[in-house]
Amino acid sequence: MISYTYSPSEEIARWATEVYIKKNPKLGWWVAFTNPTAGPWKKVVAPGEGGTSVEIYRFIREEERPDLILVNDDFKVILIVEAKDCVGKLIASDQMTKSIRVIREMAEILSQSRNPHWQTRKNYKVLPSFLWMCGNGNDIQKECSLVRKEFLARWDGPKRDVVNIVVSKDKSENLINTFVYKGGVFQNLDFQLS
Amino acid sequence: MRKISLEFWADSFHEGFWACQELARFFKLGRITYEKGFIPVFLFKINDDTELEITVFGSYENWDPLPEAIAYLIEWGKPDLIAYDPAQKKIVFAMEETAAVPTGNQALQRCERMYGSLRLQIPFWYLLGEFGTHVDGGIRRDSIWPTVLALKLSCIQRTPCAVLHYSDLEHPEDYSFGQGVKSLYAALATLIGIHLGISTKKDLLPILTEQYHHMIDFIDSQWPQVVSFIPKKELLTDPKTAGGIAGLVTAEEKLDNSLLDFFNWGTTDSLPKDIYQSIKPGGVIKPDRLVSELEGIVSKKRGYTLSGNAGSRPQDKADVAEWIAQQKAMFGNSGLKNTSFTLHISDFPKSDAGRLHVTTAKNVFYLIDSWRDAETAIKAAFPRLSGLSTQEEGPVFLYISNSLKPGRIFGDPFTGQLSAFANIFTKDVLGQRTRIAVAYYPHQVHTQLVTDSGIFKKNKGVTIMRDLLDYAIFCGGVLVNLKTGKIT
Repeated sequence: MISYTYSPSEEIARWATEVYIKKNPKLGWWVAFTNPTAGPWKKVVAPGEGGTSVEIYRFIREEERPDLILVNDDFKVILIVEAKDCVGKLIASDQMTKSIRVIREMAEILSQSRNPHWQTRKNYKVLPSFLWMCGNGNDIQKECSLVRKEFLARWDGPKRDVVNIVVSKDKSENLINTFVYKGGVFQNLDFQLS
Repeated sequence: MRKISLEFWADSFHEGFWACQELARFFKLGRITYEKGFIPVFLFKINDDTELEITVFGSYENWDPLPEAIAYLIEWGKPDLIAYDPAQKKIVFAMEETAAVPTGNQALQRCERMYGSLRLQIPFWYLLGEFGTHVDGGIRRDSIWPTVLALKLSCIQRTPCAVLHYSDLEHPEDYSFGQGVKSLYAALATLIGIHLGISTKKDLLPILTEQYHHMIDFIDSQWPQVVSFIPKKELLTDPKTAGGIAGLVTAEEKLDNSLLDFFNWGTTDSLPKDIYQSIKPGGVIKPDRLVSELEGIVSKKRGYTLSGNAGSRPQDKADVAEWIAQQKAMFGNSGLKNTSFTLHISDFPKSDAGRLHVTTAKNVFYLIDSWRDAETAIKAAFPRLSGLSTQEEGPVFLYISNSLKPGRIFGDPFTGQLSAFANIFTKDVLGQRTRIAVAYYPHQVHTQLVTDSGIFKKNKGVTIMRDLLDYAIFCGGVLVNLKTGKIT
């Protein structure tokens, strides 16, 4: 029994999502990059031979980077995720401008990779994604609308919709992920990302 | 079945999770579950009678309440991982790891975490890359100072403290090369085994001996690039040195007398003849009265420096102007007599690129033979201190931080630099004080440290300064006694 309480944070939102990916290997998603506050996880990787990881890209020290990159080889989709502890921080105008810049630059880097382990993924569909914690499960759709609206107001590239990942508590106080895409609300990341 | 519970507190969940995965090489992993849907709980089967459950808590600031022992330790800086026994309310060990080799000004950045743990006799491991990419794109090798500090603190506190390296020249900043990661977890697993009662300190001895060997070999191969000499450098090539230190921290053996002056940079009369003869001032970039006086002491060979390669990183003119204005505003409230705010933007020399140099001395510190000389220099530079009477005697370590941005001296990398240098140059391996510790902050005002009535402010930097310094001299020649809070 855990005797400590926790406050919502970007770290917990991102980690809870990674735990979801770990617990659901059958869905085919894997983490190509994660951006915790510290540690040796500062590079984009892909699965290599014999269960190893192959480095695809290494960020230089002050380079902007997303918070999470999720890949699904069955769906041929890459999610480039920007995370914050709450929706208010994500939709702040400076932040959304920065998020879009980061997502664009990351997509460009991945599409131009010459690494042989990434070649089959160069033409995957890249979707912008936003991740945050929501204190009230009833507010998820409302918050998702705010994020989508702010994103579309600032996105001037080819038409894209966003995949929103919202972390909230269920009745047992466990953290759960909810995925929202094109108005649909899903409990699993197993829907068609067209 | 006995079940022992530990908690791994970490900067991020990844670090705690990674540590548990690495421990699975040494303990049989039963299962991983997630409390509240995200808090990892690893269950290891240690033997037929004992299970070990490790719960991972990522990001210290997320949790309430923090265990008291952890809250106290992280006042000295947050290690990346702390192993904590909640039943005994005791920290088992702390660990720091970095993905990049700290180079240049950052080289000693995390040394306050090492000191913070060791002063509480908490075993500490620091894992970092031996080879890394500098901001200029070149490959750099790690500094010797974190390793020297670890060896010295091991001896002083009779507690394991090791610096381990990963990566190699062809694979800079890559955890999968070098022996560091493997060796680190061999030590941590053994330490956990000791805590569980299934291993003994004897089991740790060969691991630590190997680690201290690595550290000593590293210093032996790298010191000529950093300093002009190492006191008792013959110990670096003596095969018994590593085992002696490992024995000291695991078996409570007595300190071998031959170690007494290891890393103890003494007064000029104790220097090797060629080193004494080569003593010369290091030079100045931004003119400064106290630094000129210190250079004068060195020119008389009554003090010395170890290297004159403190680089200057010129600052943007607008930033300098803004920082000076901020410092002036803070100084204005001081109410001290016979002093005035002396910083002016025209004092800062222009670089070739039109930025402004803030670096005064080309040395980060001076080792001066006597307090009398240091005091004379301070009074000559700041006549307002002519009435200063301190009753101090003995050699002096005088550290300089030229930082101008308000508050910078209380954070990274300066707290780490001070923790490393003050421990290395003011204490011997028995922990006895060998030098009076003084810091000079020519571009910072004292009101950031202490109120007019002598009440110290509270932050990590102030905690470290109060622990390690005797005096600090600020802009305008304001001198603060760090032990009493008295402002002169």
